[in-house]
Amino acid sequence: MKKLSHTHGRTATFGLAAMAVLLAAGCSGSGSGEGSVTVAGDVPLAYAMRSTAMTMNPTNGSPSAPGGDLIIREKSSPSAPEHNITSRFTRDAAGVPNGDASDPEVSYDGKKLVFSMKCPATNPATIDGVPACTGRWNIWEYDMSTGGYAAGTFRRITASTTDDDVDPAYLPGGRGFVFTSNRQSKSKTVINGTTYYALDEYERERVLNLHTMDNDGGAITQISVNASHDRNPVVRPNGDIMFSRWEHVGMRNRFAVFRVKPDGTDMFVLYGAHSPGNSFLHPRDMDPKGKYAGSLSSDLMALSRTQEGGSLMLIDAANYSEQNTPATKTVAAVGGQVEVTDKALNQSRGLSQYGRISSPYPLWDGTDRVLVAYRPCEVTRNGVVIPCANLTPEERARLEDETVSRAERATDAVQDNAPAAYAIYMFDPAKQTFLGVASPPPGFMYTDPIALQPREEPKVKEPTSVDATLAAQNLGVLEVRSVYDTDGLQRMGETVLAAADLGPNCPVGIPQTAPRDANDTRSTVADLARMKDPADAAYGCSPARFVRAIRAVAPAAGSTGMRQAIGETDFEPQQILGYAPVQPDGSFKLQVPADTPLALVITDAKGRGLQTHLNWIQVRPGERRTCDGCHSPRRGASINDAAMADTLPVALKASMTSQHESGQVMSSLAAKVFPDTLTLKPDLLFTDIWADTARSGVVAKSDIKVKYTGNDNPADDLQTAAPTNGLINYKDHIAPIWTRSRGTNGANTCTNCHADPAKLDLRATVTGTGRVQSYEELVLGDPLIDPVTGLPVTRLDDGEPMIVRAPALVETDAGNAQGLARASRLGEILWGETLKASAAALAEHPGPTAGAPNHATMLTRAELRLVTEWMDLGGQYYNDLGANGSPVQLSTLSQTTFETTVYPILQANCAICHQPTGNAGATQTASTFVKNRFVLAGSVEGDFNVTLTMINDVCNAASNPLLMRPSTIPHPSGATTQATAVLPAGSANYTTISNWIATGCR
Amino acid sequence: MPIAMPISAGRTRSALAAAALAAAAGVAGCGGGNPLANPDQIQNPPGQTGQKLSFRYYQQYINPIFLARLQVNQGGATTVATCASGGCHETINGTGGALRIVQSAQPVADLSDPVAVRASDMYKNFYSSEGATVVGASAQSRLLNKPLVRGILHGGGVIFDSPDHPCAKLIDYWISNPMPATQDEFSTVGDSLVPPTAEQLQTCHPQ
Repeated sequence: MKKLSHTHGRTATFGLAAMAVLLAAGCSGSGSGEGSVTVAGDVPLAYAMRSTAMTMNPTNGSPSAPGGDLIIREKSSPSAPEHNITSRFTRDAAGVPNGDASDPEVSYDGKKLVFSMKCPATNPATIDGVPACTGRWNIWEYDMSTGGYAAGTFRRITASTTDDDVDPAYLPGGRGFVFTSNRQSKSKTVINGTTYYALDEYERERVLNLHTMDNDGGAITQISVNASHDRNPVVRPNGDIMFSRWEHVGMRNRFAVFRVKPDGTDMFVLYGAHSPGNSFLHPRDMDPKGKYAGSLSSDLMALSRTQEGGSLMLIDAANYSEQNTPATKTVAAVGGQVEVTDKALNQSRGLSQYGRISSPYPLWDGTDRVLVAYRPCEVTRNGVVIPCANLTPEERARLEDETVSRAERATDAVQDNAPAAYAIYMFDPAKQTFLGVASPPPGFMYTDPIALQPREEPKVKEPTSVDATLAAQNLGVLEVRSVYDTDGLQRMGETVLAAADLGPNCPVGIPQTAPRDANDTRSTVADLARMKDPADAAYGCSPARFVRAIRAVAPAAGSTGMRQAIGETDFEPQQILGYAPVQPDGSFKLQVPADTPLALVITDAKGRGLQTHLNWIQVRPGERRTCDGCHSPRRGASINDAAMADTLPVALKASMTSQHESGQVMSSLAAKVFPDTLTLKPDLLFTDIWADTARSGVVAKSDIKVKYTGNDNPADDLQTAAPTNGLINYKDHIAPIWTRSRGTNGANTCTNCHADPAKLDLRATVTGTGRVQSYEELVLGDPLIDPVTGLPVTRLDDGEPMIVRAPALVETDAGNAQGLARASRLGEILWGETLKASAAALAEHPGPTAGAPNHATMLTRAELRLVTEWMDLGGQYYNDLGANGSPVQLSTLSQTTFETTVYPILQANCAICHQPTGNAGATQTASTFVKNRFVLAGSVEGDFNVTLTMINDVCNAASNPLLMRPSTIPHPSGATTQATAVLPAGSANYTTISNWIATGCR
Repeated sequence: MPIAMPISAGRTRSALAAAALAAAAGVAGCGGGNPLANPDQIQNPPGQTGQKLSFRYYQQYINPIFLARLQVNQGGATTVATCASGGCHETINGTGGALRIVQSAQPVADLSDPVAVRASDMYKNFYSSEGATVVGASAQSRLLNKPLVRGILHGGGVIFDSPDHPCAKLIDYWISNPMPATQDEFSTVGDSLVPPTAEQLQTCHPQ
């Protein structure tokens, strides 16, 4: 790159420190041509011009606001001509800008642009006599081959009138496009002609998943099945698709970088699942021939309130699977992700002194530069935008003071609410210079810059060879070589175990040895050679005994009553698909449904999950996937490698070892000898097929058989209703356990003793929430009371005073992905074991008082299994939202009316508190996850759907949580001095919402 | 149906609306070009498909590696590893993820009929193996990186102790020498690739 020259004395390059002052002071003018600023190495570029009225959060999959367009600038210079290429489509019939455009991506020859556009249905343009615009996001292409930048030709590739297609990218080899869409080709369900779209795990937006299509928009295929959004797909040089995945299972709530083949096989995390920071968006490869080859660029931000701005990261994905997780010992132990700018930008909410960066685009022209959307740090003082540099120290301190309540902050003259006026800059990491390229007009931002340059076409990835027989059954195979092959998080290591888990003659839960692979970065690994040898005492030291397969049950869009139905948990409904044994070497092999969000939970011998699977995995039809382990380091050799697999202790049955083939782990051998082991079973069933008990001193592991009904001993059976199809509903299946008669003449019935609301009330009376009393008692801890004042203890949670609650008997929010039943005091009490409940929970719930019956013997084995399963899944009230008695109903309320009347009220009065909040991957502690579940993220569709979840009875508007909670003092819960309700009953806003709800009562 | 279609003028559009549209576009700095005058059909020919690796070379020199009984040392434990074994990449019961090898696949003598060749078991092996490569870029290819455990995981552990292992070099060579971009995997150019050395044959294709 040649040296920058400039004229008219105008400074055109800045470091961040200078920008913090200069930009805010108006030094970056619009690109209207103020003379000749010539920059060698200029590139033509495209970017989106979008309204600053739009709310952009990672959780918003297809945000929009009127006024957006796609812009082409002939050079990366402020003085270069700029062309609005979409304005002819984004205007409505009256010529008013009423559309939006986003996500441009250039073809590999640099001559075409594919992008997403949402143009109003009233736009007069037509295609074959039919309006070209549908009012939804569709994929369009702009061909500059013959018309140049300004006079190219358009092609509409998708034409949805009901769905949104965004984030397109070219597949190599003319194979078409990858994009993300809420059309849910596979995820939606159609019942009796009604289409039910899956909502994300905030119950807000129809989930956007990855799709591919051919060059003409045909053969649209859903290739990912995440339960929340998959965003920002691009194609890596090796032909893989890389994208950002919203991982939001239970307490986990963040975006990591994933990869997948274009056919949807081999889906796997690439980076960021357990690294510092919350949301990695817009990942792209740096120049594969440049200084940073193999590294990725990404922006890193909070889950909300940053307008998708954060810091610019460089990720060494070639050498690290996570921060400070090197691939081998030959790589430095410290590394993985680094912030590129010399001045640190704020990756969280709040002020970012040196601004924020969004949607970085690395150039592949040998210069290693990165196009970025950048906005300086700005705030408002008395409603006027000022640079943060102009803040007084006192003003800055007030804005950064996290102990200030939101109510106090609202009265401050200085507010952190300046419009996100992103402009386009060319950033040079080596020189740390920012070159102004394009600044938007007032009221707009410029984002999503791309260079209109040819770039080397990625390799073409052919579809994976699949098993045709399995594919025909819509099944795939999941194999794990050893669940004991675990990484530094120890998700299947000693840290998930308790002393009660140790078997006889087991000094530790999982015997350890030095790794045999010289490049292994761990100091010790599981000693599989001993654990698989029935003649060794370590044979009894294999705590992982079953794998429980579960699938996500998506809430349907447009339904009311969902929050009451799902209950007081961050988990969405789930279904247990079945169980299979884990073999002594830690291996298992299963057939599972394809194109389904799946999770696998490893349990102990009693069926209690050792951890909670906090993301969703998938197989495509016929795909056969193999993992090294549970949270294995994702690099290096398996500890159950070929040599280990070929190690066959003599104490194994000859009938098994005689059929062993080279490299075969025990689950694979078991499947060969007993093919039925590939099939998931509804119950916990285990028989030792390995130990040759004919040999002296060899003792087989005990049989395990725990069924809901049909146990060898009928006394072990459920006496109450059993779940069907793995769907557990608290009201139907758990609550009756507490009230069923036990003991002679019912002397030991749970509710005989536990019927005191001040202590523990397990009765099935219906509470104000519409749920039974016992549910509320078990999953909600009691408010802590200050012994001095006698008032509830409160804390500021995101600026709002919230009541502090003691640990509940049932943990729905365990840190570090621990198994929830094992982390719950209820589980410990009912099992009579000390497992993994917190010290605080133990103090709050010390257990039965002296003289009480032995609680560890009160439930039958089947009841224990069922209660354990319910806790492990997350403590939902209903997992089958369509069950008899469920309050969930398809709504008849109008989204259009909502948008014009209710939405503005919620945005003005509620959204400031009810925001998405995520967690960092590196520090997962339970206390950081507890947030409200009514999240208003600023998109109409999402806010409509989540508002419906707070409505249970359209014929009694005042009874619904949507009105009841904000019209009641205190709200939020800890606002003990609150004098006026947020939404007083009878107020205009209250009445507007009430009237809207009432329209559904017919 | 979402297909490429010409975009034509809206017939009901009024002159006033057109003027308003033009004015709005002008304000926003709209460039030239009239999308309403697009030709009836826009040509968007597909680009080149990716290059292919040589099937000829594969069936003669690469596939036999997968069937060979290779002596490997894994952390001090010596064992015999066969990539296509039942515990590893055998097509039906193997544990080896996406790479699947039909052990009984026989070389195809007549390559004149691509359709027939593509129906053969040997081609299935070729297809699956090529799927584990980045054509022309052996350093990025799992087919090589996996047995080397080079920056990637491998369930079977270390098979080749270094990139200089004769079999690794053979696979490297095959991946690094794709067929010309305009030719398919059956190109006779594959016949001109350098055959393995005697050492490679002895190590990688032991009888």
